[in-house]
Amino acid sequence: MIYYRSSTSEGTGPSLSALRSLIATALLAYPAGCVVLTLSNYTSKPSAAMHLIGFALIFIALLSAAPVIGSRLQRIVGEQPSKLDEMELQQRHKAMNGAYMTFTALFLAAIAYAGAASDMNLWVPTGYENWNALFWGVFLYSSLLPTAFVAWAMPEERD
Amino acid sequence: MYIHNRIALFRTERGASRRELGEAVGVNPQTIGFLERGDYNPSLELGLKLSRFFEVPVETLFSFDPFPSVASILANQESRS
Repeated sequence: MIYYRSSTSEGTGPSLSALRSLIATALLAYPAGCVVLTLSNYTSKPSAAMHLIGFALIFIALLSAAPVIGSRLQRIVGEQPSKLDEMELQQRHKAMNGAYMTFTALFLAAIAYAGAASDMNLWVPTGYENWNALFWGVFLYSSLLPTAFVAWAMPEERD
Repeated sequence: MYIHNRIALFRTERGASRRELGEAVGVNPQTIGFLERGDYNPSLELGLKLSRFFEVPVETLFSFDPFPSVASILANQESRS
């Protein structure tokens, strides 16, 4: 599931290193925020500070993802194939392969955890809040994982 | 295997920008940059389109061996004459 907003400007946008940082921040801050929020509900006295940190991390993740959605890297994974050249199509193909492998591994790990959690009485998602967070997490990862692979496979920009 | 090319040299000699060359051969200007720096090896189709654009045989544009620099070619020519 790839979301891409076609760019209306001719500008080059953020640099490659900036885009790498934004993608890494979005992919790390979102699950970290969700974990902090979940932990805050498990403490004996719900902590306002932990809630605040959790929401702040999620907000940072969304802020970081926003510039990536319209970037030239997201264009490579989300644009119609007829509008890409041969190098971009090759980059997309490699990125999709890598993202598929990673996503499958993450999904397998989640299933293994769910199986173990039911036996060991560990945390499992319940209720609207948990499933809503999981849904948007899967959406974020499925949109940005291929972009992450493109970003790290792309040669450094030089003049 | 690394493929050397003279795209930057021929493009500069033609006075064409990366955008103009990209439009002529049907690729993104950024891809022309990657080609010139040797970060990407073109397909046979793109290689032939580039050689047609510059009106030279494809082996004049691409080689498995490094191309001699223009300075060394000129120096050789002058020493012969």
